[in-house]
Amino acid sequence: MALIIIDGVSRQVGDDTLILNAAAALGVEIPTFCSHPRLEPMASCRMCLIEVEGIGKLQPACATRVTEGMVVHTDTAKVRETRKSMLEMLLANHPLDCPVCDKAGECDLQDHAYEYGAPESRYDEDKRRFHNADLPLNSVVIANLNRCIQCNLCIRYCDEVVGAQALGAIGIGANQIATGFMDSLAGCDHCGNCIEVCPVGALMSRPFRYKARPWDLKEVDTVCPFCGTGCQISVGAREGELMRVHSKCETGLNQEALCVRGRFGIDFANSTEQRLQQPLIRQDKDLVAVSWNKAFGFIGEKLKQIRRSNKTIGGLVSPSLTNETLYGFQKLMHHVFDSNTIDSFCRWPLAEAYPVLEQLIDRFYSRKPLEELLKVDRLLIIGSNVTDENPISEYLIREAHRANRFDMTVLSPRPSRLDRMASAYQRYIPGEEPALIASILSSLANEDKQPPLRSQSIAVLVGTDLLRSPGATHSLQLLLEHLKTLQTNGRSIGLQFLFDRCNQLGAWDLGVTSQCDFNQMLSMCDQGQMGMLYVVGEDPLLSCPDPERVKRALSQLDLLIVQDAFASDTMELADVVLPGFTFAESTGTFTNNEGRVQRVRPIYPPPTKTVMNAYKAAPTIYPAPFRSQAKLDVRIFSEMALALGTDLGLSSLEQVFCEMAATVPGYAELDINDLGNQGRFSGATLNTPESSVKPTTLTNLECQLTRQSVPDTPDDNFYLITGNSMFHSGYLSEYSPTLAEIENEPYVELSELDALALGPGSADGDYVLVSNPHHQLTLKVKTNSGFARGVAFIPENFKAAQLNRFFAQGDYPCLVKIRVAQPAAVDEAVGSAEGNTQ
Amino acid sequence: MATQKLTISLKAQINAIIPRYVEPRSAVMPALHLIQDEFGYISREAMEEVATILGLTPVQVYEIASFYHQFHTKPIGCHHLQVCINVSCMLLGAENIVSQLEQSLNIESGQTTADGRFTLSAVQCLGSCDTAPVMQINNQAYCEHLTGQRVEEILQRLREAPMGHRPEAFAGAQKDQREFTVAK
Amino acid sequence: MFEQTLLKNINTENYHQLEVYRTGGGYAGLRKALNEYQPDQLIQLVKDSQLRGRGGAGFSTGVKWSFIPKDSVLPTYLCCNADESEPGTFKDRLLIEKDPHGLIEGIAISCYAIGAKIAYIYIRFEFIYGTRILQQAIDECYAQGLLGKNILGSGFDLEVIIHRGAGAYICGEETALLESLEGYRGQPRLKPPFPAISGLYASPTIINNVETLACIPHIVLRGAQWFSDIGSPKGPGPRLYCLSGMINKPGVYELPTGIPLRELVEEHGGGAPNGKKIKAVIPGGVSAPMFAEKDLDIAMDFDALAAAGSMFGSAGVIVMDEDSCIVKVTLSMLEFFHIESCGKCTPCREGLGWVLKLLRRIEAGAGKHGDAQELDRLGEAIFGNCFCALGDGAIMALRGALGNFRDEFDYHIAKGHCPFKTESIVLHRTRATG
Repeated sequence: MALIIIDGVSRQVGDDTLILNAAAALGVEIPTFCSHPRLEPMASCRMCLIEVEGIGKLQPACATRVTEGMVVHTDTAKVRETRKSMLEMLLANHPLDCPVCDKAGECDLQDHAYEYGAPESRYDEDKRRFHNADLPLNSVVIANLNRCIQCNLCIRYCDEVVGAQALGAIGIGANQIATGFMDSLAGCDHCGNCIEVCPVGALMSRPFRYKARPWDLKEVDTVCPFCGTGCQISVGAREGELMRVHSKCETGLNQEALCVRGRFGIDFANSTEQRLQQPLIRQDKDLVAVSWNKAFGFIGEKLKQIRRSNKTIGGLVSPSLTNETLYGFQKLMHHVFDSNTIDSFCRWPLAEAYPVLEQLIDRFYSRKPLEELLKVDRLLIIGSNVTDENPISEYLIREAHRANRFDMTVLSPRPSRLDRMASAYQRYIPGEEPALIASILSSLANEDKQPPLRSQSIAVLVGTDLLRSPGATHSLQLLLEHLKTLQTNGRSIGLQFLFDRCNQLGAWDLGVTSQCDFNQMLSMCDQGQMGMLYVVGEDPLLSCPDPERVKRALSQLDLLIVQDAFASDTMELADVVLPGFTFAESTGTFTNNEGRVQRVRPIYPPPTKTVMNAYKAAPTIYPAPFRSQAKLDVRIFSEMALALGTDLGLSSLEQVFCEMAATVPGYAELDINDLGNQGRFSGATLNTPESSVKPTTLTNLECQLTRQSVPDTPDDNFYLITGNSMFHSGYLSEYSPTLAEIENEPYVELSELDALALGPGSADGDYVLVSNPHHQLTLKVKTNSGFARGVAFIPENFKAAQLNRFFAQGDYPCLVKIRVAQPAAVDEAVGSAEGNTQ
Repeated sequence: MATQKLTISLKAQINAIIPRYVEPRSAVMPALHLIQDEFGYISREAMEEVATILGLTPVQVYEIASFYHQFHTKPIGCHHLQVCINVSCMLLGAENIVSQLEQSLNIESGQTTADGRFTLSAVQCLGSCDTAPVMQINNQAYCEHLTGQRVEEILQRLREAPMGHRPEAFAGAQKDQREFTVAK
Repeated sequence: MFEQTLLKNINTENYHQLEVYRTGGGYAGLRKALNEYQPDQLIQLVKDSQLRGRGGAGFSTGVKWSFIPKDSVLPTYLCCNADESEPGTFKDRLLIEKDPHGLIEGIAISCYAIGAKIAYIYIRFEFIYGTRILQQAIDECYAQGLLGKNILGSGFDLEVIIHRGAGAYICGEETALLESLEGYRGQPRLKPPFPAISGLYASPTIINNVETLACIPHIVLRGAQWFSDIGSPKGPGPRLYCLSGMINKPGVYELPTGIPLRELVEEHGGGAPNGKKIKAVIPGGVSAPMFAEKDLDIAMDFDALAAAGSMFGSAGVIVMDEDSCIVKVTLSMLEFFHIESCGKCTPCREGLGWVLKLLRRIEAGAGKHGDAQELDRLGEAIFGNCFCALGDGAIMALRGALGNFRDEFDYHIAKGHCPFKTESIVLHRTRATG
């Protein structure tokens, strides 16, 4: 600690605190342009120069660290005069076109000039001009470099936080501009963080361009629904129209950073075309619109028949819905349908894995901020291209790595930017995880024999790819056993998942899992044992492997209820379709991958007036984009229960939350009205007694590879893997016009060498035919030197591609052949991609 | 404009530079020098290829190519006349040299003649102030003690010299063994 | 009587060849250092010699070396700053072209002293000929066991690698040089940490100028006392003075530190040509404020020059005669600083551009009343507030001119033309860019 005096007030601050931060702690504001809390100091704008007694020259507060007894003056005549001078110099070449600048109203240069500047400029020469018309860098970023004050925040943020290194300072001296390679950012992440950190209007959002003045926006703080990281977003709207999404420094784990999906993808909420507007029931093969009461009546009738036949009733609910919806659904299934057969995961079978997962979570899950978890010596990441799947988590890992310099091992089927920072990384083919986990964790355990321990504290991050793999249960068991051993040997262990769905942990915390997973439900359908299935927010016909089998199975049902906001493939088979709300109209909470429970608030008011009063009270900003009879999911459950003779007692959001908190131990302390702008952490859920999991011995688990062998010589046989691309996640993001403009067609990604081996016509941007006996697609090639030979990746989110048709149940990764596409097929593929954008 | 696909030999030369440094990134300037020696300037494709070899993003190479005055990212004339206009040369009439060249070549400084033969640049101190006024041609020879007559002679020889990007192609102004004025 | 040391053999034929250099006693210093000195003793020797850096800042070389941490697990590097770009300076190029082995020997001894196994020579791009000579010399040394593994059987290993710049004055600033060497844009780094603690690749690094390093073999051979007895007591040794501009005998002069500036330009340099009177002299490269003729009786000494508001800098002495227009000289200097500003900090990037525009209009006869005061004010706003010394240097140069020759500025502004015979040609020519 050091005792310092700033403007006459003394205070103890930590050693090496920057004067800027010490002053802020004392409530003294020092203006800056080039300083950012997440970036290394640059001290280039010279706006923060202050006086330190005993040093002749003024010192930059953003880069000077305190020393014992330091006396700082931030408000002397000299400091004030210098600030004035710096502003005058910055404004000399600034175009001062504030009336037409999107940044006006939230511009640091405006604010500082107002606060610290001189009333007029003495500069009377021509101003520097790099270009006349604004310069579009890609579909979301547009530049007016005449306004740039060369603070380099955009370049540094893109490098230090995002890790994309897509922006650079081009030129030297006064002629330097911040831009992409050859004035293009076409290949960048499109995350728009450069726009957010720009203190002036040099980099601007194209979707937001000339749309609104910041001071006219009404903002709602909510949580991004595109992955499990759970970033807080502030959605701004004017006169009933969504204008932009950004994030505030002071809210959420993301501290202002967002990825492309969060910043630009929320406009999916504006999509009305595919929205379901009223309840439908199947009459003579057709779905016809009916009233809610009629739909509930129809369900009641069917239910009586099913009960008589003694068949099972099952439920499937999306892990992208709020905790309140999940809780309400569970209660409905238990109390009205007497069913315990519920799952929140349909993409791949996890029935066997659930008991192990529960134990892993109970025993090792660290419910704390990721940056706290990462205060370790060693980090192991298994099964995730974190850069694409959970971009903001990846930023946090990068920053934690810079701060803590831990040893990082990355195991992933796909390359990511973390590879470069890793001490070791390993490409693998799904199915090989158990062997890798066993080998790495046992080598860690072996460190015991040679003290001192290199890895006293270990963090493990488990990605979605591990769960997708056929060896998932096996891998999780091994992980559990090894972590137990390491813990017994005195290591501190922390674990978190990197889920791709925004409320997967919440779904598991609430126990929306059963001994019977969705895959088993389908088998029961096949065998005629399942009478009714209630699907909420999921589209199994699209998202499950082997859609033919899913179709066959679902056709066996006596009653299939599909509840969703948007029309889905599964709807074709439904007997009843119920229109729900989208994320944008929903209210409640999500539990993110860290275990942080955060408030979800409606961006749009519900599209009908028939809402429960409590929900009405939620702050909403503008009229609905369209009118329909859709309802909040919980309300549908509630009304359905009433219609079927049961009162679920879920009359308000607070009530649902209270009841949920009382049921789930880890949530007992939480209050929905006191989640704050950082969310609150849930506690351990402890809902599985340890004895329920059969102990496994390590020897018989090791090295059981489940995959088929790939021919050694690369030919046209590839293992097909899937996951999220950087620009899309799940099936909602395709509804976003902005994301669709950035990436509007599926592609196949493979190693450069494999592409080369396919012969001419298989370079980047060319089209190839990917096929196996079940399915074929003509897709654009994307080469990536980080890919393992013999592995091909196609993103899973594009509905039209029906990717899951490639995979038979349990066959992951599947084998496909890739060949250069015939011209006719290319024309067709290009045509349909163009169709997608329109 | 020909594409600058790096030859295998050029790539090998770049790869051979990397081990001189702790970080491959340090090899970016030497790599760009090699490319400029080969092609006369540094094209977009060349920057992309260097980025791939050194594990950088293309913009990180572009930053370097655009920061340093002596890297050219656009084609320049095959004889790059760089006249020093800093204080010592200026005092001894460098401006007249520049004006003479501008008139003779019918271009302004910073421009290239239509035939692509000459580019004229006014540059800062070349570190030969004792022999002012000075001009450097293609980063090779220093032409010293310039006078109007000497400038005309040099231009004449350059006009007769073959066109080519490799500066060595012009030996006329080469003067490796030069005498410094050294006291006693 | 002063005895030439650095330039003693400069006109010996083929002195750049190893054989000739060795015939004249070359590499005896390295042999002596390796055989008779422990690294710490060498550092002490250089400290005792009171050698001060010849690049511009004039910091004690031995003290700088002693900042290298003794217990570092990281490798130590030496960077030879051969990016000589200060206008009016051309001494390092002479040493490189004529006496490359003297530099290499200095580098080898210095590396031994600071424990460096790799030395990089950051050489100015334009010095293509010097680079070739230096590379040949290095190759000769490798072939003769003077570089590489186990030098002269001592067990000391050293790699010397030439790194060419690409035209950026700022890379002569030591931390910008390191950035450039690491493959970044040559912009200065924040200090602390100082390079001796965290320099090249975040490892302990010493950056020394060519002339500084060239002094080292002589200090080893002839002792610290011999060196410190030459010239000024507080900054002793031989010094290479570069004389240029309106002077009869321009060139590089080796003379002791501390000689009077008047003696240097009038006696050694032979005064201004054509019997003209000297009007002003820049003593140490353009960053060093100029002196008017009346003030030439000053010793060329670090402390004396600093006390007089100028600096020894790179000892680049530029002479202006009675016909030289100081406004034009100032404009020329500011054009230089503005072009070479790396753009990192606001006052240098924006402020110098502003100053330049005022100077351009004054020189072109379009100056406005109050422009000279405006220059004063901008100088006030810029000086001391820049990230590195470049912007401050520009303002020092400006102040040197404004302080001594304000009447010339006032005349230009008042009359709208130049009082001297120089033709009014717009000076800001451009360089081919892109």
